[in-house]
Amino acid sequence: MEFAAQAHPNNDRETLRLFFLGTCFPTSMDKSSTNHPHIFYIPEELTVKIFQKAIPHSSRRAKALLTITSICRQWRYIALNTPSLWTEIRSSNLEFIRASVDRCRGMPISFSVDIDDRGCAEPMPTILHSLPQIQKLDIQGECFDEDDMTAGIEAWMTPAPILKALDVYNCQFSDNIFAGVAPSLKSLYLRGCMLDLDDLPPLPALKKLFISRPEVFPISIQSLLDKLCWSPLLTSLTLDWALSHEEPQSDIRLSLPMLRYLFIGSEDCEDALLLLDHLAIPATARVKLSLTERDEPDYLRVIDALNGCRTSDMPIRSVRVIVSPTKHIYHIKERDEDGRHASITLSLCGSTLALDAAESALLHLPLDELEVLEVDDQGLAPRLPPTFWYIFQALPHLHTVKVHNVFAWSFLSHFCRTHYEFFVSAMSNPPIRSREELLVPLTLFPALEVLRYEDTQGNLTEHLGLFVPFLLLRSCVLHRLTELSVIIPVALNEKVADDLKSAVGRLKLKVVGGEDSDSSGSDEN
Amino acid sequence: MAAPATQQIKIRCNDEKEFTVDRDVLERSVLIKNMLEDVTEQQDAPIPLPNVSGPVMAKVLEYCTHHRGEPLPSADTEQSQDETRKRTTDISEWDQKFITVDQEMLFEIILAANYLDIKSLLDVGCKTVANMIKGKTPEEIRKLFNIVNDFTPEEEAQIKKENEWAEDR
Repeated sequence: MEFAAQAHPNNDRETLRLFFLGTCFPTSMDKSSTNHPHIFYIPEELTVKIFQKAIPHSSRRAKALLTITSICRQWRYIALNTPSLWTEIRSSNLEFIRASVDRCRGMPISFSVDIDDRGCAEPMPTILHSLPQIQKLDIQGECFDEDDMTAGIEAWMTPAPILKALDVYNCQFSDNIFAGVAPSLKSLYLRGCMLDLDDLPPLPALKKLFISRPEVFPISIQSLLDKLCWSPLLTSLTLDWALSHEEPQSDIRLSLPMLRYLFIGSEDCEDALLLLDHLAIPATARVKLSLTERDEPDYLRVIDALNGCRTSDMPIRSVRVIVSPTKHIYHIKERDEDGRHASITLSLCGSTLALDAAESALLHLPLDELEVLEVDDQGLAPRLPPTFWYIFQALPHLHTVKVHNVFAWSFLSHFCRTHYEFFVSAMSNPPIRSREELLVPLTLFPALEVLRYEDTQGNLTEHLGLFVPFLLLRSCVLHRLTELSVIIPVALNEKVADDLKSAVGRLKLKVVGGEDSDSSGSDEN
Repeated sequence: MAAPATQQIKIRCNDEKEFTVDRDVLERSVLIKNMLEDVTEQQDAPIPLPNVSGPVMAKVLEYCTHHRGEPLPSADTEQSQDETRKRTTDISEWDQKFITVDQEMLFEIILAANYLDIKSLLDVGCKTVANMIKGKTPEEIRKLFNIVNDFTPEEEAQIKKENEWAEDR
């Protein structure tokens, strides 16, 4: 085998020459020779350890390696005889690549090659002939010209039995490039490539598939489903502007039981909905859609589709609703530590339509065991509809409600819970202009036991002064309050701190303010 | 009730210098930890450490005392490859001050850490030397470590040619 002869040389002439030249290595400390460099006292395996730490995992790796081999015979001998130093090849220089492949002595190689118009595809034949030895291959480039591409295609037919990760960016390939790739491939990234998904062989070990902006063939959902049915271990699937408009021919829903992350970026909401309709994924998979069409998508349909592709619905322990300025729809569901419950996050743009969709989606979720609700509208949204809060009123296990907008407080008063966390947002809309606006709603919670006042950005503290926490304490309506946390971005001066402490009484008080202040009340845990 | 007294262990270095040290401090060394576990009866005789001198042992003990109680690195707690890569040459502030010593002491500490099997100290030592090498030219590295360029002119020519491989990136 030609390649084997290259990769496993019976002798490395350079190494042997250095050896026979009589380069000697000390094995113990011998201080009798005062001129002997201290670094030569350490054994070879420690010198290797130092080299490994001195050589970066970046594009400067080749230069650092070559520097090490240029110091003296001893270091050169050690470096040339340590195959592990040469297994990570980040260079497009053909000579360096050849030398590295030789010096690897058959160990698995990781390649990272940047092929541009200057270097064209010169190293590709060497790289591709090394395929049996490559476990990670990362090719970035502008393009291959016709001749190089043809040569490359032939080389790709070489089996790649240990290739685990392939990342191709902005390269033009044609048919059969994947012929030799398959059995152990776990991670496949194809970004900006000319490819036809039908050319992919079955990839039974695949765990991560990332396809973005294929140049020529947008992927039909049917092709995708046909390929993915061979990859039952898939845990992460990203399709960024990759789908075509074709409707799948079959109605079969593909089950991806191991999937934990799904991202679909699309110009057309319908493509994303079509794919979701044909997938069955675990209830706890994180799903993100990025829809860039001009008109607002039909959020209700999207969220229904997101919920519909789940294979089972775990009871939900915590719900977080975020209203963000982007048009992304994040619908993230995560398994709780106990493995029996899930947490869900809905992130939507701030339109009334989106908030209505959130409300509708929540109505369809198993919230009977909900314990924690957090609503963060970041001041960008109109207020949530009053009916939104009704969903949560009768839930028997709900004990903690966190809100970021004080204008939602009045809705919470119907809950009659005892533990609230109010995050006062700098983006409150409209902004809070008086202390009364902040304090009056508190009178709606006579049974409140625990209150967290957090103004991390300091806007309220700036507008209303440092006495807000003090007034909270003095608020006699909160006579059942037992615990108050005040988190503000400035340090309290001594007088305010003393006032707070004197007002503490039976309360457990925690004040955190300023960069170097962490004062506590009398009864802090 | 008073806390139980920590067992004190005696060690003797190759220059006859003796140290009496809390057992948990000494057990940062896997070598000594294993020796102590093998000895069932309490012994008064100091443990001989023939490959470490007194001044070096004093530095090693300073390190072990500072890091006493921290979990020992084991195969189970190995960081992921990516994390390890990111932190190949990160050294904490205290460790940096501790390891700011002359080269002779630095390599003595590395040898002692290797002999005593104190992985974290060995790492700090190797990282320090690696940081000294990083970003320097061959001539600067030779000067720093007092290494003589022993290449023949032919070898020099070969090396010069090889170094051109890194030029196009």
